[in-house]
Amino acid sequence: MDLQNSEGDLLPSKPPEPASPPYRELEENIRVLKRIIVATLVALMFLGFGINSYMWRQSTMASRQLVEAKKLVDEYQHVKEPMIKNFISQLQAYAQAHPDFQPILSKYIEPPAVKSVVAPTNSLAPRPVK
Amino acid sequence: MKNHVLAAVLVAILFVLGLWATVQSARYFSTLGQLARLQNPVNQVTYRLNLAQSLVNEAMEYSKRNPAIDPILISFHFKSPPASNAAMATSKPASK
Repeated sequence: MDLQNSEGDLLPSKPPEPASPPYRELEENIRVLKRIIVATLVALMFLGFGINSYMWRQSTMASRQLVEAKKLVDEYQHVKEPMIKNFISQLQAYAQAHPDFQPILSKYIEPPAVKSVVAPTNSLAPRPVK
Repeated sequence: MKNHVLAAVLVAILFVLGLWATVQSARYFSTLGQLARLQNPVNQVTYRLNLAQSLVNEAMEYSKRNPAIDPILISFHFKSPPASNAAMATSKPASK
């Protein structure tokens, strides 16, 4: 029995002719698909660059705002609040000697029991204006 | 073959871009969270500074009626020293 001949019928040693029309059409389709995939990847790359630059900008702006906010709170707590407290204590001493100033001061100074949110002080809080 | 290499490079770039976007968005949302937590203290500080400013303004108005409060305002640099002192200070070197 000639096996080589019998297998040769099932598995032809020669590939199909490249020039045959169905094969050429398939090859053309694959080429078009590859181009589409590459074009899509390029488009996605541009989209990725756009999204990343936008995110970077937003993130930088938010970081800058955060730094400014922290600076504002720190400056208030360490510099301005002690100064305001000192100023108020001097005004309170003045108001004891000059009672005509007391109504002005009492519009701004709250009772000592109320606590501040930023720092546990009793510096400034207005009384409701009627 | 050339197309395969190009596609692989593009996919690699996309992968890096995706990672970068993930890191950026994590950083952005973390910053936003910190900003939101800081918003209340910032509002309080702004409110208190405005109050202090209006107290200073009222004290300045009051000082027009009663100059006895001037030393306090001058010591906090809310008001400049009286012109007579400044004039004396400038006239002394001129008279020499």
